[in-house]
Amino acid sequence: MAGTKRGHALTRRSFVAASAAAMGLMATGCANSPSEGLSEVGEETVAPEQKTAYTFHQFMCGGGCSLKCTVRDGRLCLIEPNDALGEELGTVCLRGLSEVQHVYSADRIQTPLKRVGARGSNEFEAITWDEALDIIEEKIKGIQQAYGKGAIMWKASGEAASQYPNLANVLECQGPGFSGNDVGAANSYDTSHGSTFALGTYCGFGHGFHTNEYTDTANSKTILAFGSNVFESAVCASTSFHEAREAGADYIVIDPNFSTTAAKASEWVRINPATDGALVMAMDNVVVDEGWYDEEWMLANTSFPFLVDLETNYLARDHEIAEGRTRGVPAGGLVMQGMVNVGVLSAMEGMAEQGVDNPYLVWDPAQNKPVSYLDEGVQPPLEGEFEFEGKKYATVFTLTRQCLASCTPEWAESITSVPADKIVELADKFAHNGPSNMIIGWGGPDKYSNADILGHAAALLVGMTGAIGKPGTGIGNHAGTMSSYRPSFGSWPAPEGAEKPAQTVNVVDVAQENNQEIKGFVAVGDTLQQYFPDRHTLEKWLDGLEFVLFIDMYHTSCAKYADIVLPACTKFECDEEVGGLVVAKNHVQARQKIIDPLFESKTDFWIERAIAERMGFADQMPKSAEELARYQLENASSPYLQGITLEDVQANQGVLPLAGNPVLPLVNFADNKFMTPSGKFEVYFDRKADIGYALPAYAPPSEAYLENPAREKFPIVLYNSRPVERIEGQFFDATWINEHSTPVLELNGVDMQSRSLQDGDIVEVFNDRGSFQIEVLANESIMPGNGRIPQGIWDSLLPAGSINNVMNPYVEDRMRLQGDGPVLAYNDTIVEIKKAGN
Amino acid sequence: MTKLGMVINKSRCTGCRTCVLACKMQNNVPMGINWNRIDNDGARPDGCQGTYPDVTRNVYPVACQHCESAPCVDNCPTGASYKDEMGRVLVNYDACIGCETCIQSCPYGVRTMNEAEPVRDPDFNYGDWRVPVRPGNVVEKCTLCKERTDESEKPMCVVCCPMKARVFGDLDDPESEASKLLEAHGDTVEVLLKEAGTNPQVFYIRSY
Repeated sequence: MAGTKRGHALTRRSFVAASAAAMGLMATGCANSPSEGLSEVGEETVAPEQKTAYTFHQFMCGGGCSLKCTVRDGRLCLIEPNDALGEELGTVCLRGLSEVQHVYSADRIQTPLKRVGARGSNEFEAITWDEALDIIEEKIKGIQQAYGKGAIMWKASGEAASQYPNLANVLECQGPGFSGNDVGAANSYDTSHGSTFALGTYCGFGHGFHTNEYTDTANSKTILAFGSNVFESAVCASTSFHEAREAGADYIVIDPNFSTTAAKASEWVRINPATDGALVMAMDNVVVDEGWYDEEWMLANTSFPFLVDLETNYLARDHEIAEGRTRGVPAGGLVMQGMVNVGVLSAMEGMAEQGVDNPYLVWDPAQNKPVSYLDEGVQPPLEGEFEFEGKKYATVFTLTRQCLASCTPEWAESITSVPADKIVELADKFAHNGPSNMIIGWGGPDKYSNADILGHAAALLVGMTGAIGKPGTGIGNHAGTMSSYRPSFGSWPAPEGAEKPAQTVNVVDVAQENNQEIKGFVAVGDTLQQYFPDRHTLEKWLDGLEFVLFIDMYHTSCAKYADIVLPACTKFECDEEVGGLVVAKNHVQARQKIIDPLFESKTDFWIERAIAERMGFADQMPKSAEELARYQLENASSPYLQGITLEDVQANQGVLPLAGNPVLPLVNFADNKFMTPSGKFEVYFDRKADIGYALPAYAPPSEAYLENPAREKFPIVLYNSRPVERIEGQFFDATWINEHSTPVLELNGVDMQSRSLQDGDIVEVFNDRGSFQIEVLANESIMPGNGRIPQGIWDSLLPAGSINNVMNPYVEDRMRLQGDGPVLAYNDTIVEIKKAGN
Repeated sequence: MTKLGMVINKSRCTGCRTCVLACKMQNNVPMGINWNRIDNDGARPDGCQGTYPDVTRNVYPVACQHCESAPCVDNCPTGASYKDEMGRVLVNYDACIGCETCIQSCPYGVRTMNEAEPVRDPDFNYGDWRVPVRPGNVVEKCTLCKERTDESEKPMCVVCCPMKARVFGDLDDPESEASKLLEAHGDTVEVLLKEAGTNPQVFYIRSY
């Protein structure tokens, strides 16, 4: 091999020259180890100078990966799992590895841009940062002077929100209110356990994260997964699902399509889209009818024995609800309890009146009267109807039995296509073959307008069987590693003197109602794509806006609607040694500088501070990301962050286990104390009593149901999947990934044939809202009558149109009454498909 | 003796392609080529066998099988393809004349002729500096991460597999994890195209 240059090694002569050029960068390296791995082969080669540093990958996938990055000649050239996390927690997936290319993508926004064509024409000219900030200051201040502070609204994507903790404060603008993503089912089961906030030990931030740590799945014996495709959507948190299978668990995936996870399950139960709620209501019916419920647990730990006033249909309380307080957790209340400072709180109406202040009532058979559920020595019945002083009462469980009476397995079979005997079998397994685990929420059946019914029915099943608070049990979604200890850092205080305008409109409504009070919109990340189904309505609304600011790393779909576009850098780029902290995988993780910001891009921290400066709040902001990181650690109240210093984190390859010896894996509610107003696992939702949904009543989704007459015209339900290659709208420009997978529409062969379609054809996907074009491929994994596309496809990758041209913007009012607000029902979309040009 | 090989757990493989990208990155593999791929018993990786709802999906990664009886080595006219002392099938890029005889000989389709002027994205030599930059018009394939395994590191596909589906080791060492797995799985251990008589050193097992 003498003639082949060994490796990327340099000759001695060129090494001297190159290392001098690289010194500027290397001098500030975190773990600069120029001689590491040096070995010579023959006379002429030595190891090139390299630097190793550690960062956390973007966390929208929830993977929580800390990455070991190798830099050579100032360029990122190798990514590996951070070995300081050990083999189990040191993970990376194809998306993380693709960053060696993706960081340098041709679709990076390179400079600040100013729109020069019509809005949406995607015509921009490059401007300087000073010019961009001048325009931002002038426009935002101008709008706020003319129309009031609240005329500016901002919406950041989930991850970006955490990177701009003070942007809404310094802009003095409206937050998004209900943001609408992935909260459909969570709305109900979060209400039942009160969300997974537990005073500094909380996992997740509401939004339906699972109550047990992701690694705990290995302890389950029966797993019911509703549309959950963890092997694609939570790659780096899914080995425990293999472990459960290897230990012999029944791992049952309920899904219309044969997903990657369904293919690994012990059983795949096919179900018509958006009918999962009917299936679980029938399972509830079976559990009640067969007496498979855990009466002792229900009496001790749930609201099933509580009395309902049959005149008002409200839970009976000791006295009238105090003024300004609510029955049950109000809209936005779940988030409030977690004190998340991302600007989604202003829809609050006040907090629920707590059971200790105004006790719920149960029936005391000894005294023949209602008494406080907190009274000692009372042995209330689980069922019964009672009368006392002219008032009629029934227990929640009695009403539950009544409401479920017609929800027989045969009834559910007619809606779901799941055989009645299979429904009985599933109920039997869940009730008797525990520990039983309910994996539900986020994506799949969550993105239909009736997801609240599914979540409520699932909460009943968990409440009746006590499948929570023990290893191997629990309810919720496994969005990566989010279900684990995630104590809050200290938050930098909001600037004094900054106004907080009232929430007058929610992001889920603002375009649909063509709201004219909002005059300017600030999008951090491609929120105009991810939170605005129905593009034509969005475009009409945007046309009326005086200013749109767009901040992103990549030129994603909706940058084209902006007046000013700002280039943020990736998590691999930084202008100081530490760019931020995150808690993931029960570790504090640091974002170290890997490379300098590319092009003219700036860090999120820099951009937030620059805007704060223009808005007059710079003196109250941290001066560096390092100062913020130190503040966050020093001002954390959680015992799991006590004593952790930035130096310790940095010295341990950017990761440090939480302090205080947390019990692993995390099992929330192990003490059966729930974060609800009553402290019990609540199954009766007072807030929805007025509209007849205090207990679940089956409701079809807005469009995607079989009997919908519009299905004659638009027979295909269009499902937005979250495939392994992407994170929502991200990585569509990653060429290493696109070598193996480009965005396509997948259809069952039956639907291909009836439309005379061939693999590779360009088809038009359309309904009354609009259309788009895309390549089609046959896939027998897809249920006939369904189509599958990856969510968030960039407009620029489609032959014509936007996927959002067809998406359903329907907002279900029932969900406005619940903690997480209404879900955006992207999957609740029906279309027809034909060969393009025909 | 040392006989390096790999045991791949088909139950754990979800076809996510992390190993495909890990290999591309580590070995500075240009666009249009991958030393490692995902197979799905004839279907494309995202597809399935059968007709809905009677469908199966059987994904697993395929790269060089480092055969004990390697037809690529036997048929190479220049000796460029060879079996090394650690049991790996390797290519001497300087001796390779690009005749593609080995590509025709390999029943697994894991060898690729590279381009005269390879295109890289990003446009620089990424990956492990120890990996040689191949000249154009030679045949490339999996080396079992020679540059890593020479220094007792695991291959990059093993390090990065998020499903922990890959076990690398010395098949001649009965105490290696790979040998123990093969022992434990006995008759159920599979090799690809057993009938080809190539005696692969890459084995496939199922854990459920």
